[in-house]
Amino acid sequence: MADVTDLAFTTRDRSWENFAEEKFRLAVEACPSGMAMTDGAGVIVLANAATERLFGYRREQLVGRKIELLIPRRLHGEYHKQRAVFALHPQARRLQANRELFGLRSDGTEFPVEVWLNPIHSGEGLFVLSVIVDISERRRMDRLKDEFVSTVSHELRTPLTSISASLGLLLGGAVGKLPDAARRLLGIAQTNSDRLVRLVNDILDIEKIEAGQVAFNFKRIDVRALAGQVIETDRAYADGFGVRVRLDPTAEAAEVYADPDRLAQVISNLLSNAVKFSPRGGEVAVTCERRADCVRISVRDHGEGIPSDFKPRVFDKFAQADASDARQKAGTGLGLSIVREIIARLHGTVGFEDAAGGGTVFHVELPDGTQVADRELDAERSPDAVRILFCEDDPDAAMALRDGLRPLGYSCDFAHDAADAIARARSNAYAAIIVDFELPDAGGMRFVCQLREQPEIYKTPLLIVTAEGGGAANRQEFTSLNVLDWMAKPVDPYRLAQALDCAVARGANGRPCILHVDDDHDVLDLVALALQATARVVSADSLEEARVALLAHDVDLVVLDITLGPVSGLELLPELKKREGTPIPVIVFSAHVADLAADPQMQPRLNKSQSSLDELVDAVRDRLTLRPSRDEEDLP
Amino acid sequence: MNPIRVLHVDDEPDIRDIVDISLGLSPEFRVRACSSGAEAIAAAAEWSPELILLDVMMPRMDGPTTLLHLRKDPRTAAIPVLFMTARAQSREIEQFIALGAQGVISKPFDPMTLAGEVRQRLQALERN
Repeated sequence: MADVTDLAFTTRDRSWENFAEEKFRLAVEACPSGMAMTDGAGVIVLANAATERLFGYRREQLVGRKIELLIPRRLHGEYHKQRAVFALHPQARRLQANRELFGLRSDGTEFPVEVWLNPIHSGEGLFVLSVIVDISERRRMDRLKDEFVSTVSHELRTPLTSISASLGLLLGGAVGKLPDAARRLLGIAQTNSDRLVRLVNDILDIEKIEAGQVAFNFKRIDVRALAGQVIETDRAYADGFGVRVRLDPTAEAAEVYADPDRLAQVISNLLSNAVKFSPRGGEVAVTCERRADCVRISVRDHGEGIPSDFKPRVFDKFAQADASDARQKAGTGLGLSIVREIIARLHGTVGFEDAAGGGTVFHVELPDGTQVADRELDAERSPDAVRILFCEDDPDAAMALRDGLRPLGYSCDFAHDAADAIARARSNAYAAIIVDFELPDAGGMRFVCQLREQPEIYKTPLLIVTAEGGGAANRQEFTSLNVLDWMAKPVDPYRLAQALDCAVARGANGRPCILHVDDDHDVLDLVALALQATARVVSADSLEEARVALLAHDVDLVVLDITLGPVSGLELLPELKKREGTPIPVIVFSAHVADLAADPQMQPRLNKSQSSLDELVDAVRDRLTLRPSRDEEDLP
Repeated sequence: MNPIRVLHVDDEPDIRDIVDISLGLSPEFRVRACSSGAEAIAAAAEWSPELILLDVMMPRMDGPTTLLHLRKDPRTAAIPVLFMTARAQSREIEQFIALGAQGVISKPFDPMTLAGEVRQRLQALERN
């Protein structure tokens, strides 16, 4: 009896299962975005109706084919790279490429896409579900919006310039004295044309900032001096309202790390806002204050304060507490929105509170310029730039060097002390490291030795800058530590770039060079990516290519696949010797490792299907750094 | 004293009139107006102005391209150029200066003080 009941339950479970599966299938089919699942080799195993529609293929034309079918040829390299990244870190996320992504239709036309990747782990290995969204329409709207903004910018400003200048000439007496009534009317026209100019400028500003089209030029800024300048510039405006503006005498000297133009705009907007809402004869005071980890700039007015029901909307666009208030009409309703947008991009915060004794205090908090650690990474790095690390405790000198090197194709990150430098150098692949010999927490020699002890960077080219110019004795000591060059401060970026060019060009001497031999291009791509932080990887898919690579590069280590189609990778073994005759260490990374003869040159042997890329990276690092002969070989 | 020759380049006839009137308020300036970059290049070579006021956004040839042509021609290479443009960011100003301009006058400008501003800029350039 019990068996029959069990059977009944099982049958019901099955039908539920089928129903659930069917629902799931229908949902996938109804999804308006393309969904394509690929196996570990990039072969499509499932595609939904939207994928058929998007790409113009029937399902049977897709399943069993490589996903490259749907990608323009010029993007295949990018795709292989992305797939390798995903295989290393399989997490659901949007595909982030350095360039725009496109899909390729069956008729050869392309369309812009956004792709979301989702890992699906199954007993048969890692599958990837790609969700593909056609973003043609979004792109078209973006373009229309950009065109509109630029049209508004030019077409609206041009007549406004003429109107406001003509009015200015008439009111300024350029054509003689005017009757009083005419002056009054022209005055009204001028006030309103000025307001239109401000409105257009504000709308364009906020559009540009929100769209990320405004470049922020970060510098260390003396806030008190900047606030003083803004007050001077805006004094005439305040005079028009009969309001006195001043820098509070208690304002502290403080530095922030921000864009001076944009910060001036913020202070100016807060100031004009405070002026507008001050009673005639009132006073607006600006002050600066150093806090634990930030600098606070405050603007205080003695107006009526902000009504409590309006407080939540203060920073909204075109927000006005009382639209009938003539003072508000003088503004654009965008000033505080612009403040909020700018401050967000300056990594600060903005807020306000009722002031004791009436009025309001607006305050802005920005990172302390003397604590610029989080700015040390070059945020504006172009993807093609060569990354270098500059260990320098003076941010101004470091910034100047970054600015000087950027147009020469280098991106410069900083480290302000030795500990920071070592941590940063270990976690990033830098083409070279520039060391300030007078760093505060490490004697120059000790620091360079420390750097050289790190397995990740023991071969990275080093350049030393010093106020002393570097004595001959010092240089002698440092030749043993593979220091490429010495330079006196202040460093000339052109001279430095020349030295760096040499260092990068002779990368083989600077970073270890690995030759990877494998006939599977996917594996070559994956390994190159996994090892890029550790070494320069030269890939070869045949014995011939490997021989050419051995001639062209000073190879430090070989990662070798044994089965290269019909031939054996072992044929290469007798040729794997350094120019001076010492054998080049080999890591076997192959499907067939079990039956290899013992050979100290070939250690370790990793089975491709059983070893992860992380294990390979660890093995490479071990072999590169723990070779007993390393000291004699590389540190002569 | 000879008047200071200023070549003003703008595709907008209204702006040309306004600059003409504004600088005309001061007898020391003599203004000649051009409506395009091509016209300006020819006029500059022939008239040798002491200063060129150059609009940035113009159809066909924009201000920066006009400037590059002016800098290539030995007859006009040394003539100071001030761009006139709306709301230039400091980075744009740096770019204009890198192209060989001497500075920027922002639009909308105050027509009653334009002559004074141009005079000051010229004096500053002479000092340098």
